[in-house]
Amino acid sequence: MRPFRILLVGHGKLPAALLASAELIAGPIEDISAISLHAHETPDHLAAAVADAAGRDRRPVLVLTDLQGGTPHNVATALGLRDPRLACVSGVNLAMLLEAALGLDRLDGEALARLVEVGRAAIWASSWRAASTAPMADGAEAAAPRRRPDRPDLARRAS
Amino acid sequence: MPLKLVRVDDRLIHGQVVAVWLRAVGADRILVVDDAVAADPFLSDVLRLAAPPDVPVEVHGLAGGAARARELAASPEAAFVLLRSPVSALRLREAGVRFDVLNLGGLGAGPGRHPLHRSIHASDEELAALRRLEALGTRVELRLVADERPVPLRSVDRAGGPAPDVPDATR
Repeated sequence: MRPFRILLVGHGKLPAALLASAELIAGPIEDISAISLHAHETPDHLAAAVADAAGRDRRPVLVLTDLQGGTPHNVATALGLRDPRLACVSGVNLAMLLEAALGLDRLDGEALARLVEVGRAAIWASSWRAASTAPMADGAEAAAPRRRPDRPDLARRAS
Repeated sequence: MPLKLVRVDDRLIHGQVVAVWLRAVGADRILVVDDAVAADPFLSDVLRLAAPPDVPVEVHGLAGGAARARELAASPEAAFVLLRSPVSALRLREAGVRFDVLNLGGLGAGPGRHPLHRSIHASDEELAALRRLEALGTRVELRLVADERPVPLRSVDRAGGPAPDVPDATR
């Protein structure tokens, strides 16, 4: 059994839909909850739901949120600053979720850095090859987007 | 340069702000002005973590925030000012911070709070502050996200009386 819980927290139908799509690919996923912020719900409602789903035992909890700076992420970050069991990563996508559910056997700084890397590596424009044969409108190097700039801020947050 | 946007939103930095407004107004710095937030290092941390990594967030109380807003307005930086209450906006204006438009983006419901437009509500004190701002020449617009048509305060605050309940036709 995975030694940590996963909470998917986001806006509207996204968390439940993302979970359903992940299970379509990977089969049933255990120990995971999808929690939504709906229009007209307050951040307090959401905080209560997240705290409830995080459980009262000592198991670590990975909170994957949809948008950095969005209310779901802010609420989870605030809970995480008070409760060190919670680790929060924003910008969840299917690749990141599958890695979290199937590929991690612990939840530490290294694991969080890996999640960020996997989520980011999954974002790729397949049209770059085609674009590289023609000059881009602004004259920029077509291969420029391949660069993955170092993000020390993320490394710091993940540790 | 002149402040890019002065917005009242009781959630301060959240999804609409980071995904829509920062881009729409082209701001490269967020100035949060609120005495309670400035006095709470925990809340200030949460706000700093809420902004995109390349957008610095400053949190000030009202006195320091007014001075900083005047300084930023005279600098080359494009600043976005976020407040939790219209009363803070009036205080800034009275402290000499120039802004032609005040954007109302989110103010929660509660006892004694009049619904103005969608998720925007105001207490009597806040309404009085908004009317005073308009009298000082600041146009007050109600607008949650940038691509909505701004709703002028006077269209939901007729005759300065208690605000009528405005049906929400956009949801």
